[in-house]
Amino acid sequence: MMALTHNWKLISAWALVAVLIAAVGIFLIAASGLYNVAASKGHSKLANWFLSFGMTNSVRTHAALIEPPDIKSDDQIHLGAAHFHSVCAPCHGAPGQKPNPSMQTMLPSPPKLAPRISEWRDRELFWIVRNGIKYTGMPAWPTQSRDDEVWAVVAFLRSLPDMNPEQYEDLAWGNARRDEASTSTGVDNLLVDSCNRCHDTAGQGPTNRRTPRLAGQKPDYLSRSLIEYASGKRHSGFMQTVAATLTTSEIKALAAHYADLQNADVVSVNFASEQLARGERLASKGSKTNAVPACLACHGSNSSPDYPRLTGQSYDYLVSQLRLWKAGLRMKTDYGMQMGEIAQRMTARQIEDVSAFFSSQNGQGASAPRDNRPESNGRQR
Amino acid sequence: MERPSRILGSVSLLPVLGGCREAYSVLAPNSDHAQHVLNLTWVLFAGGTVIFIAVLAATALSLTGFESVRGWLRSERFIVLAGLAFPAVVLSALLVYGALVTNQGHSKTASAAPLEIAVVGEQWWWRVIYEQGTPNEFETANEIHIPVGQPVKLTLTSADVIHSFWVPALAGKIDTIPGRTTVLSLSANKPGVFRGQCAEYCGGAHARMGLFVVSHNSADFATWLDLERKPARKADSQSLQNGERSFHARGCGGCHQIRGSVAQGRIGPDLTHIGSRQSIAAAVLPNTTEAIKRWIKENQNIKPKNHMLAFDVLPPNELHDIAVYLKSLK
Repeated sequence: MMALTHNWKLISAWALVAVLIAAVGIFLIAASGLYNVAASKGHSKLANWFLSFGMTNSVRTHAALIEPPDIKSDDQIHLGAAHFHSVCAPCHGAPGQKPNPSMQTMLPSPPKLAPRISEWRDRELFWIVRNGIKYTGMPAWPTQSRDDEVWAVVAFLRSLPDMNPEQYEDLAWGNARRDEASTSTGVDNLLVDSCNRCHDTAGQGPTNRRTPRLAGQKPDYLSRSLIEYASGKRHSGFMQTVAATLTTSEIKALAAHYADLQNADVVSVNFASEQLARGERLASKGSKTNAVPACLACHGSNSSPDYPRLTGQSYDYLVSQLRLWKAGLRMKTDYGMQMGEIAQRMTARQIEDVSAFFSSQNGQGASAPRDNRPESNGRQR
Repeated sequence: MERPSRILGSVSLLPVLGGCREAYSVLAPNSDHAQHVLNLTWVLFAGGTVIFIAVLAATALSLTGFESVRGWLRSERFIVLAGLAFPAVVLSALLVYGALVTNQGHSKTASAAPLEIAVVGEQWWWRVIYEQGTPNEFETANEIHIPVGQPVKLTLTSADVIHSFWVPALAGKIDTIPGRTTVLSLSANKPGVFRGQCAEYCGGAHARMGLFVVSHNSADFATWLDLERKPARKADSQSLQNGERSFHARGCGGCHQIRGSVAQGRIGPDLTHIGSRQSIAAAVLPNTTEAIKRWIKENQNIKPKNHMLAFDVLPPNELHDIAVYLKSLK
């Protein structure tokens, strides 16, 4: 019986020719411009389905191994909401707010989010917000090193479907609406409103635990931070988008505004007295065993205007910044490298202890520095 | 044909000549103990040379000598005499002599009450503590001052890894071991400045961990001790006060102590009287304002990974003021 043989050489030769013809054909189609790239024309139903199918499965696969932290704390929703309002709402809209019509004619058009959130798991939302989507207008997070910020946005997205317009307004505008009577010295109300959405005002503390207090901070440090955010040397998806739009005079005005601001609100967090004692010891004496100098040597009163004041600062903010340094981040700026060197010598426990100490200092207390502004300290306990 | 070998010969002498510099050399001892060690060294060297020549001669004779000589070299008697008895006697004698020499240093200082100084090896500098354990305890760094003729007892330890304390002109090497205390007794014979060096590899900047030992006659030593014990000089001019203010504002006091000021850090060297030391940075830089500036700004280039921060964020005028202030702390 004669076995069926194939002439493999002939078959592969024809396959090669077919591939070449296809490649040339595709090139000619592109070169001739026959294919219509108009967004206004939309995709065919089949193309739409296929692209959507591919995207969904790609996100599901790539997000599969991500472990989400606990995002149920409603504290971070404020942070995510404020950012959402500036950066996401123009394309996606928000409760009670239509999206910008010219964004809607993108292809694919940015979807209304509230009905779609339930289709995704937390880790998939995280992946989308952090990485963006190819072939769409969905951007990635401005920096790839701040996962903590992306989770705040995910926390907000999770609460979006149940949100009515009034709740959204309140979350998105933060202190800018809550503290209408906030005084601004020589700084445009509109300008500082944008900061007040998250940061502290005369009558209110920051909207969430992660956002640092700015009232009474040294102006040189504030302007330097804004400049570092604007240039991208200091990484924060939230702050880079804000700082990049500021002019030099606006930066100076904002720094002066916050340096002079007196904030009456004090968030009391309970720390064990042993922890506070350990923190105070480290802050005032340092630790010889791991070569950590006393924090108050640089961050106390009479210290250089370039070093930030730490007393009364938010505990979560201090801990998160020290942990950023310990992870090798925040090292692209001159001063960041200095503090980073020290933070990397600190143990995890020392980080928590010293943050607890400084956050409990509120401008008064045993070794807390006096205000270094010319007026007397008006801070309440 | 002869020329290259002559040049080679003279060039090979140069490192030896360099080692003869007074302050640094084992060949220029300045203490009794170091002298005894040098004597032992010469005895070994001379004896070794003689034996070497004898062995060479025996080898040559065994190859080319008369048959009678070769016969004798082969004999059992010669092997027992020259191969067993001679080494046994010579080595035993050397053992006794060596033990006496190395013990002599200790026994001498055990008689009188020695001046006790604690030395802690750090990466990469020497912490020197006078009157440790008393209320008058004070620190200095990278420099030990001792009186001539008086026995000195150094108690050595290390803060991190094993270092080795070695001042060739005064005594032999002794390791500083973390968690343990080692003791070195020495006594200088005459006033002078002697250079020391860390002699056990202790990390990247090991080669840049020197020190100075300065011996004074007793009157000068009492003066020095008095001055060193006092807190730092007050800044008495505008420029020095600017420097002092910058020093504290920039957080230098977090690591460095200046007695009599708020700067009470113990992580780095004490700077109370830095202006009058022999050197900066453990015998690596001269003690000048420029060198101090260079150290503050570029210390990570000079001793990479040392615990001081690289202060290249300092504006030049602040850097200058701080360096001038430190140089004034005599």
